[in-house]
Amino acid sequence: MSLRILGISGSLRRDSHNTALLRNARELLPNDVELVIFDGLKAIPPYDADDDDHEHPLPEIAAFKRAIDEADGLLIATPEYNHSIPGVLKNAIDWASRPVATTVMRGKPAAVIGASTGIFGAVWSQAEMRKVLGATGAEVVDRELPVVQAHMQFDEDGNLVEDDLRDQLAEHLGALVEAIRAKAPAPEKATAA
Amino acid sequence: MSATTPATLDGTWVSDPIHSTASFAIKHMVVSTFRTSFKQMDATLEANGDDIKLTGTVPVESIDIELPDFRGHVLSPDFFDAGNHPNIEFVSTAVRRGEGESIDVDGELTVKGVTKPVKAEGILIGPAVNVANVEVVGVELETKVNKNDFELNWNAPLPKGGNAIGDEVTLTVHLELRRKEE
Repeated sequence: MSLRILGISGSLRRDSHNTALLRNARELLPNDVELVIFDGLKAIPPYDADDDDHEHPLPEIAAFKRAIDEADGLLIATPEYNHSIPGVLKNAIDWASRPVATTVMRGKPAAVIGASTGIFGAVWSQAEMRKVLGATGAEVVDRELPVVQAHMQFDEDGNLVEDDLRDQLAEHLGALVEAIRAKAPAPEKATAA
Repeated sequence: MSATTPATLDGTWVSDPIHSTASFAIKHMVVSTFRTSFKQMDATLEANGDDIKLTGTVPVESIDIELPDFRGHVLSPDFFDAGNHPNIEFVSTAVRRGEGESIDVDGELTVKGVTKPVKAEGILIGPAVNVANVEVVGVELETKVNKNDFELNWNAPLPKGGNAIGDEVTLTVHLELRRKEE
């Protein structure tokens, strides 16, 4: 069964290391797993319950929720701002988590990776992201992938330079795919019992 | 060096900045090691028989970290507080030559305005005459200090246990010192 993963980069920057990390992830997935990178984060307005009409959602919100709903799992790549998640990323997840009773986040397998130019690889924001995802009801893969000194990790084409890091990313993706497959409904039997 | 003029350490020796480095290493994220150097350093060795004195000054602004955010944090009061304490200073209080090239150095290290005694071990090589016909001495020393003793107190707990950085810092100098012309 082919699977779809929605990649969300918490960095809006054109040459974002986190977006580059998602592009690398796309190349490391099995052939039957596609990774679609969400590109509408900047268009998502600040969360305001007055604008959160569940019957007639804002088009940007509807598109974001649909993208999550149509995905079998989420891969979030987050930078780290002051030891935490970028506001735009938290804001988008806040939208997606509403309404609580029917949120598209509930039960969604989700993994987090993160790159920063420092020597800690967004390890704190990844932990915060996992906490937030858990609060939304997502099924969070409890592992991290800190990409340190991110400005030195990619070649000019945006490919990861170090084989070790590529292997770690592949292993991380493997855990996400495993979590997704574990949730997938068993194939129907050919004949009823 | 001619065979008829045995090399003597007596005199004053000053560091060649091109061939001298001061570096440090510290654990980060529990198991990894971060290391970097300072791009500038002045060191002087004065010898009169067994009486040897070694001094050194390192401007903290010369730390070899390019990234503005990272560099800014390391130079901030969380670490070196470079604005108020621009230099790391070392003054030896005792230098003992041991077997062969080995050397023990006691001294006082000043970082961030805090002075603490340290003991370093290493080697002293030479004097020798280099290709430019200049008399040179090599000194390599290493010591370990606790960064918190010098009020470089920043740290942060990691989400899965342990601290962002270790407390122990390994300090290393590799010096090439040239005989100072009298």
